[in-house]
Amino acid sequence: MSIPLPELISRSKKFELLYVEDNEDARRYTLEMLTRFFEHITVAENGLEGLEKFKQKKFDLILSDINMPRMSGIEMISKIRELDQSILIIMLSAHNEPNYYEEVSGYDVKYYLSKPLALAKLVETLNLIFKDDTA
Amino acid sequence: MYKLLMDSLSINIAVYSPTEDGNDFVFVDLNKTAEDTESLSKEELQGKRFTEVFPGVQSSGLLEVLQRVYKTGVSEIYESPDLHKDEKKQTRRKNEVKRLSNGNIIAMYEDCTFHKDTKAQLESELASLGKIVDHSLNEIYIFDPDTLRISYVNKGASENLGYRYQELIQMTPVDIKPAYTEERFRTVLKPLLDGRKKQLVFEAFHLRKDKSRYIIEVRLQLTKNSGKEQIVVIGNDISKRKVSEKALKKNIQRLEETERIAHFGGWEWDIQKDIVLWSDEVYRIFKEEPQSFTCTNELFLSYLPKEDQSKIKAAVKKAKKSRTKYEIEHKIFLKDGTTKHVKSIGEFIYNKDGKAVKLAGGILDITDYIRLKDALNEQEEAYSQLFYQSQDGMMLNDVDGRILDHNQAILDLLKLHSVDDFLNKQPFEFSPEVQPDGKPSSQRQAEKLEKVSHGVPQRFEWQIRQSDGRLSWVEISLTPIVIGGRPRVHSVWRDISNRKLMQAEIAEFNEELTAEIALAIKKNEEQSQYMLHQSRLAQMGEMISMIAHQWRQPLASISAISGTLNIDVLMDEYKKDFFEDRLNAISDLALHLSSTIDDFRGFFKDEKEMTLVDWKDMTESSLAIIEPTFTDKHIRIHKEYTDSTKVLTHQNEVRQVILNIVKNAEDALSENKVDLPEIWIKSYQDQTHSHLSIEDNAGGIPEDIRDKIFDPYFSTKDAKEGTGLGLYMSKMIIEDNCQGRLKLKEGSKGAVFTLSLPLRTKEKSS
Repeated sequence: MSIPLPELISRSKKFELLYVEDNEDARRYTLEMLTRFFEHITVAENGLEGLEKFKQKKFDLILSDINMPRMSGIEMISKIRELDQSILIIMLSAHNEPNYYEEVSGYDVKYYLSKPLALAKLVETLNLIFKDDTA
Repeated sequence: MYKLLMDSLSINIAVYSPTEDGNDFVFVDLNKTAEDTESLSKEELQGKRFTEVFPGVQSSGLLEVLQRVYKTGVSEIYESPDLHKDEKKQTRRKNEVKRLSNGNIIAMYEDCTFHKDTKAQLESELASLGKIVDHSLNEIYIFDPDTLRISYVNKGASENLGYRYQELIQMTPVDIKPAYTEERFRTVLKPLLDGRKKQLVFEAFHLRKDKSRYIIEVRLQLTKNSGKEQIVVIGNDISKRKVSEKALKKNIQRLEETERIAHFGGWEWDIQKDIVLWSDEVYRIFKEEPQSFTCTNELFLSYLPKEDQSKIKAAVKKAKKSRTKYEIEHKIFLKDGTTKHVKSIGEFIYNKDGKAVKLAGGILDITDYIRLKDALNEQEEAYSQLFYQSQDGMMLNDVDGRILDHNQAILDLLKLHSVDDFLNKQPFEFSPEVQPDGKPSSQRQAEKLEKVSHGVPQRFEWQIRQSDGRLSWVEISLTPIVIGGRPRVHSVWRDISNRKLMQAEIAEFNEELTAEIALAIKKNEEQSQYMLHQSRLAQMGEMISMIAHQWRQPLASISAISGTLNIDVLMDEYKKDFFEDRLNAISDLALHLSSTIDDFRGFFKDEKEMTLVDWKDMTESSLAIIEPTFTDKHIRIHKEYTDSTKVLTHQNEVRQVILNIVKNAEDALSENKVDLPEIWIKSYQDQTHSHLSIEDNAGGIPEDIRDKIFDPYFSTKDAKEGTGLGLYMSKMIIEDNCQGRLKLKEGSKGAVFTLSLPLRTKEKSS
């Protein structure tokens, strides 16, 4: 049973989101879609920036790409997990990239989504988060 | 003519014609001699009476003789007493009186008138005569017919003979005529002394004081001097040696030299005296000092081996009996223990009575010749063995091919049992009608012989027919030779049936091999086709990956836009302008996707023709495809195009190669986790080629696999990742299809691949 969309959005709007994505083209329209769900979005362009921004603010959710320059998504979450064991993490990965599922499993990554991020998949994941939350 | 003859005669001739019925006679003619004798000229006497001119003829009885001859016609000899009763002359005449056919009387008489001049006058006459005689080039000497003692010699004779005058007048002619004994010489003189001959002419050897000899023609005449009979000898050197003593010596030297060179020596055996005169060369042949001893027959024979002694004796005996020459080869044993081979020839010299008095001949040293002959015989023996015992069949043919001689091997080749079947036949008769090349055997044989007749040796293969009808192969060599002055052909037949068999086997083997090779090539081609196919598939896979990568961001954008619009509709937040704007963005993104597809399709387009293109064009279009990945991976690319020459090549294929290498570099950079990945691409040119080098800083290829990277199915990547065909196909494309080169070298930071294309700017067939 899924949460009705308006309800889902009203709940997600309260979330503080850290969005880490290096590719500007991809970021542009994905961020636009994310604004429909999240009121407070902090954008980081790579892992290192993401880690810095994480330290400055209290976040409810991290949505991060894996393959990035300077610091990869995996390295970033490994560092974050040293600071915060409970923060909710969703990793994004492209189809043509190696499967990092095994690598990220040790860092309590709740959801592992593939790019491009489809609306249905985002709604489904948020549904699961809030359901768990309710339960 | 008659007159000339009369005048030239040394006897007196007078011709008379009868008058008064033959009681008296009138002078008709008289010759020059008679004119001189009578001191009267012919003109004075002609027409005058005999009794009138010579009144004494009546008393002397000469008139009576003339009258008698006239009457009877019987010739008479009349010796008249002195006609001139004066102080000056004493005349004695011996007349021969004959009646001529015309009735005239001819009187021929010798003047025996002795001039009773004063002694001084006589001596002076003799002296002047002596001068002439002395200075004559002829040898003149006078000897006594009884004692044979020489009483006078002229200068010429003493010079020629080498004796002084004083020595010669102690000698006899026999002493200087080695060929004569005294007895024989006296026999020779007889006809002269008894008046049978007025003059003796013969040839003789004269022996000089120095023992050398010369031949001379002598004329002997009997003269009376102061009532004493003497024999005058006038010698005429017929060999003209007398003309120049020097020339003579030279001639002798030359003769001796000739003898020495020829190793021929002359000898003469005086049988009676048993003296064998040897020339210097004979001594030399016998290895003796020339003229150091006088040889005898016994001595000569002592040089010979026993068997040769009897051989030469028999030959000499036979020659004497048959009055022919003998010629014999024999050995001589020499003092130094060596043996020589000589040839002796000889001929008897007979005297007047037919008695053999001398044996003259020569001896020729034939030792060298015999040795040579032995060597030749040995060689001939060897050749004969070669011919008859050769394993190859051999024949001797005449120029028409007729078989004159042959060996056993050739009969064996033909499996013939009888020689009669072979001799005088033609080789083509032992061959099939037609040779494998389609020509009749007889015609081919004639063609080959024709060539041989022009001196060109021939060698060719030939099919023969053996006696059992089987065909076999021989290799024939024909060589032109001359035997006994006749042109011949030497033929050698070598059995090559095994070779032929082997050739057939080899041919068969070759056929099999060819088939196997064809199969292998086909397999190889199939393999290549398969590899090409695999490579294509791999490339396609890579391309699809690249497309996926290229498409990822636009698709993500489209996906995100559609998600946003969808949410807006669901949340009833539809805004027309925003919708239009975002739908246009989707349209643009779709166009971008479409153009990417076009780029890739161009890569796989088949190109039959080569086109002119430069490195920049090919590199840029390749990079366009892969660059999004590079941006993703933060790989920096440095480009430096110094060569902008357009070369003729298969550009799409070269693009694939560039893409492949750049992709490999990208993979290597990712795999080695290079911090600041970089790639350098440079184009440049030399005399023959235009080059493109692609270098990365991935650290290079380990040395142990550097040699293998162009091998098919060799990959440094995981099995899932690489097919191992990329570089193999790249090398094939550059080197086989484009006649260029693809090389790997180690740069300072990583691998450097260099693509080189020939500088071709015009269309050529490739």
